[in-house]
Amino acid sequence: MSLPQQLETQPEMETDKPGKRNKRPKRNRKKPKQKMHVFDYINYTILTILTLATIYPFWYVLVISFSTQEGYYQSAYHLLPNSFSLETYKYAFTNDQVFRSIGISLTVTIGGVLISLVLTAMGAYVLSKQKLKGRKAFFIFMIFTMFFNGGIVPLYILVNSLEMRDTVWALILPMAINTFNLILMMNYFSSLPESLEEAAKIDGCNDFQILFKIVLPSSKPIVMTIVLFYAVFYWNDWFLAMLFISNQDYYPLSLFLRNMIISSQNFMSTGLAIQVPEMLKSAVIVISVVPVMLFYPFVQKYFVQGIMLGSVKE
Amino acid sequence: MQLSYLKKNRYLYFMLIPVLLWYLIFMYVPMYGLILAFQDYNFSAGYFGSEFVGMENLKILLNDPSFRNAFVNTLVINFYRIVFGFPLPVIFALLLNEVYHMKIKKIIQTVTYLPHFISWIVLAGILNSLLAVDSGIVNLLLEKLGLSQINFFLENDVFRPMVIITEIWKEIGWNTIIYLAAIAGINPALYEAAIVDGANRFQRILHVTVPCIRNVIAIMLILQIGNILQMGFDQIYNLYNPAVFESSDIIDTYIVRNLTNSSNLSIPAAAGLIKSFICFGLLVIANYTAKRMGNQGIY
Repeated sequence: MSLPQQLETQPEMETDKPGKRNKRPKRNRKKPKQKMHVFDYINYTILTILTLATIYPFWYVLVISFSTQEGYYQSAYHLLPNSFSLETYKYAFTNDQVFRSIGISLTVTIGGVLISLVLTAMGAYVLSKQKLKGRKAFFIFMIFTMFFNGGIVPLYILVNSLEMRDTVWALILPMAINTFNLILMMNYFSSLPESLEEAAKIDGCNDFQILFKIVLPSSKPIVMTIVLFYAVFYWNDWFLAMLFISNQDYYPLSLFLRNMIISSQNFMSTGLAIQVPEMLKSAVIVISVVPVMLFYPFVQKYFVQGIMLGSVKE
Repeated sequence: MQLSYLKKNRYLYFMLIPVLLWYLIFMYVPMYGLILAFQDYNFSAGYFGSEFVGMENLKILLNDPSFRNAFVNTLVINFYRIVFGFPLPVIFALLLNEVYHMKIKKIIQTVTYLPHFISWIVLAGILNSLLAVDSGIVNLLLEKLGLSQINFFLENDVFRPMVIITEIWKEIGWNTIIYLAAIAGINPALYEAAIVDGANRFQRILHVTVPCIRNVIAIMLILQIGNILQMGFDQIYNLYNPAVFESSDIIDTYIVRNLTNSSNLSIPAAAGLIKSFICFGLLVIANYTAKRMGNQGIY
């Protein structure tokens, strides 16, 4: 796409000068000197409402998760905490199953991100070589899967017949490569200056060394972006777990949470299931959201430029 | 191809092997597996031992009222989702672009991008609490206003709008990214010229910003229409229940429900086959149109 002329500076800068001296030139944006007009007040009001509406649901569960039983029943809106207790978290963290499922989720996330990143980077790097013979065929081979796929039923049969059921592999391998991410990365690599690799080639590096020692370290925006995308996918994934994990001992946190929520949904609609205490549900929600919330703002500054440069036509 | 060429680039080709293998196993084997839509599949016999029944499964499927319901719902829900959900991020991006305090703008962006990274399970849990009868804030407010409480999860009339609104809420921030980038790429000279010509803020937005990003808007719209059959599974599967199947069961939820609840895999596979082919057609058309407009499409 013809979008981001303003991003022409990035990759070289990230690579060459690790020192802080080379500060990014300040963009010549309009200064906030401008006088506020009626329009601005209305605009700021709308945006503030939208922002608060985004925060409130998360704030709500946070408040509930820290409240005591009485505190929970006293307040209706939970705008401000009216009591404080760590009981729920103590309970959650000493509960074997919560503890185990956090471990499973971490394993799958870390392992999955590593595998996905390596596979995606290798695919993207090779495809970024415009002149490589056979490139076009490989490219079509991968791209075609974005247009047409077998769907979930044959995948279900495949994973079962590979005997990956109830193993972490079932949670990692079936979605290990996201073709969209691969293309983002490929476009990013294509935008890197060729001189970067030529120097390394003269020094006798092979392609593996070039990719992992030179290209990846100098592509921080796209690497961080892709890591975020994969990490969030693995951390949040419940679907593969629901299909392929039947042993409760291997439940990732997301599936554990899902079962909790489904059972409280059933309680609401039928009254037949066991009611999960609202505080416990909230605490598990907070536990599963916090890693994402802590990780994502650090990457935010990268992904805008990662995505943009990645979506520039080669 | 010459041997010396292969040898010179051998590491590149080596690198590709695991990637191609992955695609072969996890993408192309399942594609082949779609033949089970034409079989009376049973696990022990596998693809090769199962009996072929031709179009039987497709016939059963097309006569199944719940599949037809799911098919129509998919189209209707995503139609509303596009009609209401598509323009809002554009407007949001335009408003955000008018914020001159960079810190404030950054905070708004950080906050509104966040829900994109939160799973629908978590959001379903939160929504269950917020929309609960007697204890959820929404119903308490309704009561205060003298209206009667609504059971959002059991009434077909309200479940569908609720699904659409919450989806918009989740993605509105994230969807502005591409528009904000497009706006940032607009040549500042255009604004200066507009100011010289005496254009006010609204006129600048309407006559400079919008025309400059019109192409991007069109592409996004086309691509979203191309994806119309693929959206919404995570959300609906975690929110719905049998009481609202009528208004919210979509093809994907139909497939997964039948996959996990019944022993006959051929029926959901046939549903998947129909979906895959329609998707393919839509995506090819969408991509072709996007390319015709001088852009790259989805790749």
